Amino acid sequence: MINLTTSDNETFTVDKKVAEKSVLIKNMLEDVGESDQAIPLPNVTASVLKKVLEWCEHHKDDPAPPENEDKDDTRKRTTDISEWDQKFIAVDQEMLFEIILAANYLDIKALLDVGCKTVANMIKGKTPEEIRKLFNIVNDFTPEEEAQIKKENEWAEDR
Amino acid sequence: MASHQMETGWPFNQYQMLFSEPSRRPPSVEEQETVARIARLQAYISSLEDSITRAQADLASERALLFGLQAERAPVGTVPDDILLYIFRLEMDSLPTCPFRRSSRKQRILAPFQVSVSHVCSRWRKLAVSTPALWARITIQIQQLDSDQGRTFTMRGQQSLLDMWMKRSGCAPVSLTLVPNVEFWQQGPPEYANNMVADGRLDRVFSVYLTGVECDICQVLHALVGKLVSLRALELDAVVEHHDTSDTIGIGPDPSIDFDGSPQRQVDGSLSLK
Repeated sequence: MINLTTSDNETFTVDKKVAEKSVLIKNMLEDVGESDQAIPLPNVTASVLKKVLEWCEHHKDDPAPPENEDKDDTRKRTTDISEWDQKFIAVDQEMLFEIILAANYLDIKALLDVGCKTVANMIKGKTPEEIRKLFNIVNDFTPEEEAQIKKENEWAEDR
Repeated sequence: MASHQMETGWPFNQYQMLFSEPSRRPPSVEEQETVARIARLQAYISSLEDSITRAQADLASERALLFGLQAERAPVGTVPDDILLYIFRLEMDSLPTCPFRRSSRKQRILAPFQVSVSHVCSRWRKLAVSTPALWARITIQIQQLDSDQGRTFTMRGQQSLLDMWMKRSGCAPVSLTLVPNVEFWQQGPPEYANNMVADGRLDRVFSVYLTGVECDICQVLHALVGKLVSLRALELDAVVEHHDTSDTIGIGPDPSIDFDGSPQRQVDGSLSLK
């Protein structure tokens, strides 16, 4: 079993196989060897780690992704998400982005994909104004940028 | 009676006075007081309406301020650029070949997603515009689309969209979708399509997806012969009979057929080069 300590000082004891879904933890274990000391995770809070471990537990027997697969590859991807993952990721926006950041930090590619696909699906089919409202983004374009954007919108004309 | 008086030439203002004054006798004190009260109430309502208008403007301004303050701690702001870009690329890859699409309300055509995300805010724009891979899938929709839904494609708009697309795709290999239409191509390819050929911009095209009426596709193929020097894949989706050309949303999959031979007709009527 492995002990993990979060940024808010909570310790989780998890199965090694579950913890090793994280490439970061797997590499740390390989580097320092097994010990009773808890692995500190200063960038992850307890509430987020709890969710991440729930995902790792469910997917612990999934085959490992190919070694050469990374987020810069040129293969065609889809935004399809499995039913279980859809239910898992049905959280508020704050938790969604915290899971994405944690998956990125812990290097859990498949979980990062689930989070990013969810955000991609939220953006899909929306106008810029709808995207701003959805994610609470301020329109901070300069007048020059606004003029350029207006020009770029002339690909079709309102009748 | 009234119409008779009008016809007899009575001045209109006198006619109006006749019917607006109930009597020639002077009003009573109570009546005068009532008129005054009504005037005061009307002035009061008017001042309340002004206050409501001012309060609504203040409310909108405060809401905008609050939105800005909340935006400073919005979760999306915590996501680093590389992850945001990964999200954009996931969305790009999941789209059908033809990027023009309807909104969820099925009422109007939306801009391609790359254009939409580049119009959200400065950060998203800088990120999208500086990533050539996002702009490497180009569609030339050579037909009037969605003309009955309030938006219509224009040749000028197509030209500027294409120019923007080619510029932003940098040196990236380009996947091109052509959707020709008989009404345009009977008079030859549109100017911007000719410009694209003339400028040598087709040099970067490695993949072409061509869909539409068979005779139009043949014309396009003739125009493109010898121009696509980097072509690696070509997919044709031809309809033999003239079909409804007013809507081509959600056209098929990405080009994926290796090009190493002559066209063969498929069971469903489509042509493919094998």
